[in-house]
Amino acid sequence: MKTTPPCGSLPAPSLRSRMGWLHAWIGFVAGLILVGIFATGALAVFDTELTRWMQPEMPHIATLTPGPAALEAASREIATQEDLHHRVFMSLPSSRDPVLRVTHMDHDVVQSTAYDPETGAVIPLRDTAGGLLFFNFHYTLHMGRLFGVILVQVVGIGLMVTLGSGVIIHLKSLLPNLVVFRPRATSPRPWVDAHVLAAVLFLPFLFMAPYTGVLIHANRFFPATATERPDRGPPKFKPAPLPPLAPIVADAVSEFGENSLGFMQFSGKAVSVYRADSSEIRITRDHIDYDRVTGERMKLVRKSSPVSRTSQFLSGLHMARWAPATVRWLYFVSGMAGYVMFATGLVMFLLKRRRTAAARPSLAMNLAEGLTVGTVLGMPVACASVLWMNRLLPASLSSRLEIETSALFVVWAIMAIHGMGRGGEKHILRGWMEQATLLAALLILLPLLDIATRWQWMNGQDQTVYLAVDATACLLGLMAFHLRRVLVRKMTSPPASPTTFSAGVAS
Amino acid sequence: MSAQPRFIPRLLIALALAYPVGLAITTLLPRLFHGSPPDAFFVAQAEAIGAMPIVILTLFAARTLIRGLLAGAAVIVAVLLVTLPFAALGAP
Repeated sequence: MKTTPPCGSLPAPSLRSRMGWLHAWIGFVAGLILVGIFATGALAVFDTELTRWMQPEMPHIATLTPGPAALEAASREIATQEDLHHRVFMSLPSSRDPVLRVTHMDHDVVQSTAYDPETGAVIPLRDTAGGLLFFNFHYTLHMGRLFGVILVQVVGIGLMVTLGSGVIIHLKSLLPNLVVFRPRATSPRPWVDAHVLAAVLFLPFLFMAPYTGVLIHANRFFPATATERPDRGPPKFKPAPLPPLAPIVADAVSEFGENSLGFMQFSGKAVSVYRADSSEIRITRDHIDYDRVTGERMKLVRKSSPVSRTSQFLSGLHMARWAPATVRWLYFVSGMAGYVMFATGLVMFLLKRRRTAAARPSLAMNLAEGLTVGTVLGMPVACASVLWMNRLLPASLSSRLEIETSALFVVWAIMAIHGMGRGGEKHILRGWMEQATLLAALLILLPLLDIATRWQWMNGQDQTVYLAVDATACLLGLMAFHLRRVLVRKMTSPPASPTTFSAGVAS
Repeated sequence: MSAQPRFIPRLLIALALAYPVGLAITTLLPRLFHGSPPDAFFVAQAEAIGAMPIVILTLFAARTLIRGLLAGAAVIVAVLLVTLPFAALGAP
């Protein structure tokens, strides 16, 4: 039986409309940040490989077991850095990063010296922000380990709310239209299809990523539950001479296995050898402590309660450090699906509101248009420009690390300002087209830049990493070029209906 | 591009309540859980982070705000109930 609402009162909105409103607004506000988080997260899956691409001087290294000469040379560097009151750790060679690295923190700047694991010779590599830049942006937005992480966590909760409300509003049509994509249908249908397709196919990943991501840093979100507070300040101990490291490494190998050592840390009382995160799916951080003076084994630290194992499993699932290359590619594609889901969602949000904005132009709408193009295309442009900057700056430039880092933010800001400028001029579609052109050019030409700036070291190098980065850049560049072609076609064709992309923008 | 004003108060209430709900869970749950503090805190964090978006969705899904608040409170109770076996039998 139908009931009519009392005269003068509005009918209560349906569940779908309430959830639709929540989905749109939380999704738009969080989405402007999440697009960047997903893009850099997908890149961070290959952070070590990107660092290798950004240090083209890296020779081919066959031996992954550090010899006594290399450990002796590293030991001298550790002593030097400790005397300068720098916090030091040493990462041991692995198949992804085959050199012995002594890394120290100089305030917030990470600097490392690479050694050939066999001979102990210093490998002269250029300073670079490397893949770590994308990794740090992914979880801190470069806004500090407290405020930045908490902001990312808030946005992560927003992602879970957006996904939950999205599942509720699309539930009815989800099963019949599970994998439907109609690129030639009238706008906004292709955007909706792409949005739902990216979300549905990768839904388990898209729920897993924010949940485990927020959980990893939950100590910052709920400070009362923090049991361990890592000290990242300069060491407060007077460093004693280090014991010979070769016997320590040999003993740790006998405990954890060949190629299963991750890194070594040094405190006033102990030298700790940590198990590699790549050993298994859980990030266990099992380690053996050795006496700082005598080098004798003191204890094996291993957390193995069921709850600890669950925590380690969830961290490992998010970080994917255990994953072989094929699974990493799956993570990369899933991250890109998250990017596509939010990019299409932002576009749909604007498409819907352009109709009313055409009648009543507003500053808020121009700002939203500009920020959307500035993040959806501007962020990938900024990431690509970091790779260009890495190869164009002189290798010996002392401040290249800072310049590379700044490039990400400066280019991103320029893209956002450009987008807002085009939005203000009512030419937002041209703004999209220009940034898509720039992105396509930066990515398609990246292999040429790689060959032109790496040819002198190419002989004898393992080409896999360079080939993978160049091919992926080229493929993504071709996608950006296709987007450009679609946009040019929209700009030159007459508006078909008031709901089409071009019609909404042109008005 | 103005948002429909009728939903804004409920959104603000939902956002304002989400974090206190997480705090309540991370405070109450370790007291029920018979485990070491790091283990108890992790279980509390894991449940709080799952509960926060559910509370926002629940508040928004309910027809009236009162029903939404009651349902939100039910979410907290349900989260605490999940740990009752641990409270009774101890952590495995």
